[in-house]
Amino acid sequence: MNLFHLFNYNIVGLKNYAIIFECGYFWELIKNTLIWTLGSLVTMMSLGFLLALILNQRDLKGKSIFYAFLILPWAFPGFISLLIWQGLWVDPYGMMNKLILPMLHLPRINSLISTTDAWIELILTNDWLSFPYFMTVFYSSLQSIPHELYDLAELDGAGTLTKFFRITLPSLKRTIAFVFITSFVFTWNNFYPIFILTGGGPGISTETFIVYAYQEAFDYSNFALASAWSVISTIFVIILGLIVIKYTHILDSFS
Amino acid sequence: MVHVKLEDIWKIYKEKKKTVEVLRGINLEIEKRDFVVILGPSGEGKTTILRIIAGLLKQDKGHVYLRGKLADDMSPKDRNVAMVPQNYAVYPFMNVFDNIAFPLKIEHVPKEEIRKRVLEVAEMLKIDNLLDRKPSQLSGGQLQRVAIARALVKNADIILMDEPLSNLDAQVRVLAREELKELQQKLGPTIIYVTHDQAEALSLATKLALLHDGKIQAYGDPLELYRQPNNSWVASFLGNPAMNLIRSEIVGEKIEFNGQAIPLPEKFKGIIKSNKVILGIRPENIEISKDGDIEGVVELVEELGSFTITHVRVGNDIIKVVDKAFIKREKGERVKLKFDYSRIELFDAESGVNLMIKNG
Amino acid sequence: MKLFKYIRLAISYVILIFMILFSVFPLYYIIMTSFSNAPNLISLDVSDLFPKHIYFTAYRVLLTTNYYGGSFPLWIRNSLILASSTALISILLAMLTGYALSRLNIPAKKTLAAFIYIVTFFPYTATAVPLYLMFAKFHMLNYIGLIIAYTPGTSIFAAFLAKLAIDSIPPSYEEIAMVDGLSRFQVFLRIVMRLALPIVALTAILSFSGAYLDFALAYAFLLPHISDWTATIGLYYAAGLLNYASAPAYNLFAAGSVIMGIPLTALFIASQRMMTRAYSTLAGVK
Repeated sequence: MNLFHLFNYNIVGLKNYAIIFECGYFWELIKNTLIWTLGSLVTMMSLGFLLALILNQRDLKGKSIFYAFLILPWAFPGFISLLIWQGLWVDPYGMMNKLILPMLHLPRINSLISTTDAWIELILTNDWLSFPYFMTVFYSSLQSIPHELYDLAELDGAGTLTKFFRITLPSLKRTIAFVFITSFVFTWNNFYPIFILTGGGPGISTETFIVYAYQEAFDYSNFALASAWSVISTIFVIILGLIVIKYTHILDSFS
Repeated sequence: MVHVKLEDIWKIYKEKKKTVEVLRGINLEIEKRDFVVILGPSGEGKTTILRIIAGLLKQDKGHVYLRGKLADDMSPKDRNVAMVPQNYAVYPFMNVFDNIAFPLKIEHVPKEEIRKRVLEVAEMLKIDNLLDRKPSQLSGGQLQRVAIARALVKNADIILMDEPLSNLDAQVRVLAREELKELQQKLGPTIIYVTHDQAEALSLATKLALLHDGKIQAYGDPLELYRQPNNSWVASFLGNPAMNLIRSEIVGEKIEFNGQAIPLPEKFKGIIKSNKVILGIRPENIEISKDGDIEGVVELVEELGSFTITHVRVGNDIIKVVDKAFIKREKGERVKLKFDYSRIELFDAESGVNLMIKNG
Repeated sequence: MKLFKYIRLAISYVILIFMILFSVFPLYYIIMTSFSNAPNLISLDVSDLFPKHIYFTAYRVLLTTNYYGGSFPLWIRNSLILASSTALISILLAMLTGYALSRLNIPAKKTLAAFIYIVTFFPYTATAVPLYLMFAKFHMLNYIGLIIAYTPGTSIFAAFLAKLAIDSIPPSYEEIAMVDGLSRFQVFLRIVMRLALPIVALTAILSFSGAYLDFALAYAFLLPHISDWTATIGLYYAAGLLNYASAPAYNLFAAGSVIMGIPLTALFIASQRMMTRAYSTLAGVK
């Protein structure tokens, strides 16, 4: 397999893509990648947003202490955290199944057997890893909304819900959009959680593009196929990247 | 010897299909020990001229001569000029001493010599007690002196200053102005100074250059330019409040405007060819008096302590009058204006050129 | 409606406390495990979480044992060398690029910038496969190859920040130095780098931690040579994920996690402070 014979590569290359579409994994992988990305994002952002709202209350005491502890999952190196979580989720010896879940009266999670369990494990762990990021971003955005807006609304007789939907949400629209799009791209290509926690299993039910490509290359040595998969995933990234640039005007400082 | 000479300097900027001609043929001859002020509105190329002289910017057409030699291809460091930028550019990570010493350090001047010269300059500018402070601990006025000290320590004979006083408080600015003037007279460098503040320009300059529309509109002794501006733009730019400019017509031996007339002063008789003119008279050369020729109604009175600006409506025009505030005037009051005829200037209605200069 | 306020605050505190427990639990757990003497997950008991006795054996063994030619201290040393070299080169690359993007008039700047920005979207692992293939071809599946593979990744993002930071430095600071006699490059080194020091530090921290924590590329490049492993590969092995049968004791993994995790957490918090400072000096840009 010669890297520099580009012309040869092309002729064979299309065959790779044909294989990909033929063997039917493509749709499974798209489905999985979407479940992973959207499932993670929706939960993480909601959690982060909720916590940001809670911390933003003026009459809340001990904010800095809460914040310092809540930031830990994000501050601690993710790779190591994932190795730790992997041990936690083992059924039945890991601490989650041994202690925590029974304590909360929740059923056991076994990602080796059940796909649903696998997804719960993945998304829950991903939430743990990343909610502090969203909490921080939303918190600072909430802080930057001038108090006067709320004060004036109160003078006009607005209640809590009204203030939330009429002032808070619109002010955050840009932030939410930016964060959503960039995190979407990041999660789409997020390799480590799935690789370490489930390895794509059971079967290929939790494989995403990037994990599958990596395994094809380094576990099965199908480099050509792996490259093809990487290309497909990258095309998605580029399209999404262009959307970000267009929508958030982040490149306006260049001219 | 002509110390600095600019010959037909052009600078053109092309931005996205639009071409902006910032400098359109600048000619300037500056003698040694001159304090030349380039005065003009913001954004019209004053800083550009300075940067071309310093060698930081290359002109598109024309030549720069320094000390009689062609300087076009000299890099900034070979031109032996010093510069004081508008925002002082005092390095925050060095203390005052090191900032002032910086140009000498680059030239590898021996330490002892550096110490001597820095102390000398610092004493002159009265900042010798601040030498070990960091820039963040200094006020605007002190930073400005550090910047000037840094420019002086090189002993360069040409110093370029870009609006160095514009960031200072009004009071500090006046003091700094006086000190700068004294300093230049004592030490003798040629200073090329750029500003948009015409009071500053009039006070500091030995020679004044007015820059507008890409060209030097006027160049000469400041007071002469003030008394006899060579075109209407110069007339309106120098002087605060600005010279009154009224569209008028010469009819026989009178100058008519807004249905009223004043007699044509002697100096213009027989010389003026056109009859559509712009009449220029400075507010301080008009008196509100019973034996005035022009009638008008007071619209606004600005009392500024030492003097008062009275806005008088005459037909379509508002004529401003400046006098010492002896009589309190009311809005709506009918007054008569008396012009000092020796101070009237006439400009061509089309070109704006001072009619006396064209002919005289 | 005072009652409403108390209910609101009560619910808030409950949620916060619950979330704190959720956040802290895995870290507490691993610290406790590292002080236990449990050889594997099975023997790890709930009582180990509130131990009566603290064992330092895990740390002692981890720092002294030899594993088929490698050892934990050796792997950490490898990681440190790798990360520092990456940081150094990244700083140079990022600052030079940022300076060029900011000051120089390059044709098609905006397209270039767009291109660079999109590239920042590619995490290392997305490029793991092609990078591996490229470096395999050049027989560079070693540290030099890794450094070359790592630097563009962080440098790109850092160059973007550097550009924004240098934008906010008025050109007069450089011009005055040039009038006084420095060449443009000297101005870059002596003045611009000093003025943009926060960005330099940020780049150092980001690229250091990025290289230090990478697993995917290191795994792909270095797996066959145990003595060349980085600490991340070592930890992966210690967690029993590499080869379940020959995994070392679990408390050793826990100790390794603690040794690696704590300093990096501190580094991360430091970089967060710098990020916010960097962003606030580039006011208005998101």
